[in-house]
Amino acid sequence: MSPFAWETTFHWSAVALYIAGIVGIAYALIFDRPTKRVVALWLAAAGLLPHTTALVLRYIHVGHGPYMMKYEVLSSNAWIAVVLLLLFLWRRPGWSPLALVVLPVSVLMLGFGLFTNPEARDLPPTLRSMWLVFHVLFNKLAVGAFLLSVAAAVILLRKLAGSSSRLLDRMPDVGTVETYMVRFIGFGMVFWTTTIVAGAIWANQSWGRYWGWDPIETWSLVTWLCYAILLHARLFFRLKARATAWATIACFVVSILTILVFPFVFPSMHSAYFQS
Amino acid sequence: MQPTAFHSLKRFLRSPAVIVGEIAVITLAGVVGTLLSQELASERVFRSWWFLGTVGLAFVSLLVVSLDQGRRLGRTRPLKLAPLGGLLIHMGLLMVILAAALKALFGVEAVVDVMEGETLPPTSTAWAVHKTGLLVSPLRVANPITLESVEARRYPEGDLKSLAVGLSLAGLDATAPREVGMALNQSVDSSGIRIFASSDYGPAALMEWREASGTTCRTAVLLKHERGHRFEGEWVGAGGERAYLRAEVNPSGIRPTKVEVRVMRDTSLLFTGTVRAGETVTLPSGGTLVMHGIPFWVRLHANRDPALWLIYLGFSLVLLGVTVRFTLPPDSPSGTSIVIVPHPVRYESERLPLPLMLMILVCVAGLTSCNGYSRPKARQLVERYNTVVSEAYRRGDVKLVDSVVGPNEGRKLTGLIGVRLDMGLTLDSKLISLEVLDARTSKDELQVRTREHWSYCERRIGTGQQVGEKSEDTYEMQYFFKRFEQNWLVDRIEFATPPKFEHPSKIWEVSHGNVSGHVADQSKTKEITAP
Repeated sequence: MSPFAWETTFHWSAVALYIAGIVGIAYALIFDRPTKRVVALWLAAAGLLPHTTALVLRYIHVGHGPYMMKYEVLSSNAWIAVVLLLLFLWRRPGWSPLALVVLPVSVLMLGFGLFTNPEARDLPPTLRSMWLVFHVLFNKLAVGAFLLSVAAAVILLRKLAGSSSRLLDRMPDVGTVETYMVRFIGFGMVFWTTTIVAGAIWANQSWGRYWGWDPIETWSLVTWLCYAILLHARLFFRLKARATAWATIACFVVSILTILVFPFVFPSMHSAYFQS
Repeated sequence: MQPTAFHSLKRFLRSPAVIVGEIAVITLAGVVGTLLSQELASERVFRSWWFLGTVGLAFVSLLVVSLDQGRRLGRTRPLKLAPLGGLLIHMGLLMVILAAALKALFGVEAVVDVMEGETLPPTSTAWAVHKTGLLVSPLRVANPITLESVEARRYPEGDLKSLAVGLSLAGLDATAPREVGMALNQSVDSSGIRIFASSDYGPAALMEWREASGTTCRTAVLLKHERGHRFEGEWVGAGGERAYLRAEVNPSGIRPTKVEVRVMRDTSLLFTGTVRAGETVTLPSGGTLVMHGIPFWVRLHANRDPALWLIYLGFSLVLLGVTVRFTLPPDSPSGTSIVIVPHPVRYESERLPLPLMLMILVCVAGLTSCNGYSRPKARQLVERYNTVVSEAYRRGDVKLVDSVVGPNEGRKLTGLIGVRLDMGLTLDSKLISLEVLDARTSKDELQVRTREHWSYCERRIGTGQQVGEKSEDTYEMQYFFKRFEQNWLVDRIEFATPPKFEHPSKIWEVSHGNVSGHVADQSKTKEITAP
């Protein structure tokens, strides 16, 4: 088999295991089977093995990290989101319902990536910088953290709507879910800030300026400011939990547009590298 | 006690509505700026009085809030981490804005294209493009700089793999020049000015154009990367002739020894051929072209930013601030872990028009992510195809069409243009009118139906003399575009209805005598038969 065939096989194996994990968690939570929940989470964790292998094979095949093609970017974003989810659930097992939002979104990202052009692109010399590693890695961590905040927001909205199920009843109270939702945003802000700073230092090194109002640079600032508005508005205007949850979802949409949509829409220095 | 005007101003500047309003305006400015072209956004948004005014207001608000936070933090014992984080973020942002302002006032930037062997004198006029701060004179490097070498390697597909530049910096006191190496992401410092190379480079054709009248014109034509290993450039001669140049650069970086040259006057091709370094060619007009050499050129950037240290300090404080604010648990007397989140405890409720903000964001997202193919967009695609292909026929240069056609149409055009070149002819065509009748898109195909009115004539290479009569024809065409690497390229073209020719059929008269052809009745394609 060719390296690409191996990659694809491992990727689809990961998708299958993640889906098995989703089904298992849904079953365990709906029918109140705590032992099955652990098994389901192990299934999802097992999915990380072929997923990691696929990403390592990709790295060996193309000679650079997962930051050039949509295929690589989506796969690595999904990987980070699953890792963050499992790490969080390891420390807070009672939050398993988060997996019912994070895992399907990760599977969607991975599946969508698998249907995009996987053709390897050569690494431009400007991308050979250690700042790229920080820029990309922290960006993916930010997406993972924001995804967890959205998962918490969805659960919070369900709870606020008065929905009752064994699944939701297992979750902490509304106040705690809201607190964690904002904490995930806080972590995301740390990672997003690092992304912007690393990008600025790298831009200064490569292009001689740390900020040039490039559309994707600008949208990364817009995303940062949107979250800043959310946090300030919550602080100043005593936003209710429902409004905060909706604002969290809206900010997440902005962050996803910035990372996955706008590089393909706006002519930008980023889109020159991040294509197909 | 009655509040003074100063206190009222302070209260205004740190009021939640003003702070959130400032952030919202900067955010919306960013959104609007990305919807415009970068030049327009820079002029109308990011350098506009209202944007700079808002940033200035935000700076003062940040200053007031930081002073307030610092004073309160100084009174708090023991020290609390969460407020400290907020203070650090705000101080960092203050420094970032201040550094940007200092750069705008005292920063200098300049750009120049230099050829191997060329020396830049230590004057500001040596640099071509300047971007100078309001309170500082244009950039001037203290020492002469000589470009010694450009070593570029490309991947087999044509993308740049590495670029290394050798410079020689002369000493200030006439000491021996020092050789320095530079690469992408690796700058050199010369008397406080940072010099670095961009990835813009290529071969430079050192040309001399001697007119029959005796006028001589010398220039270095900088060939720029077009696609693959191909570099192209053009030059307008003293007599109005236009020379189109092309060179292929070896992936391992070996300098090209020859350049493909096409000379045109208006729409007539006067000369086509390959010219080697040191060669002279005679043009039909009596003039001559001399190729003196083909060294490499590279674009050098230089800048001096007196506040770079401040921006890095600002970045560090913001990073430290967000980390302290959102990740570190505070010290707790009971030893229990507390989750830090900004709790809404400071102000009484004030309603924020959040739905309005969300609505604007959703509208912007919807507008910008729309990728449907409207008729104006389809028209742009067809016009671009027709412009490029007409020029390819006019110059007898089939490589031009690579950017607008896929492999199928490319093969067809190679045959059609090549056959004309063999006959010593070019086609001079002009699109008089274009109407898009229909545009439909599916996943990988875009079909555009047009009505086009064209004017054609054949011209002889060398003299530009018209061969046969001029023709004006109207067609209804069906274009089939396919996606190739994110671009819509023409895969094939068909007549949507039988074409109407003003001159339905005519036999060509060709000077070479060994080739003849005719215009086919039902096809735009001109078929050639060689005996």
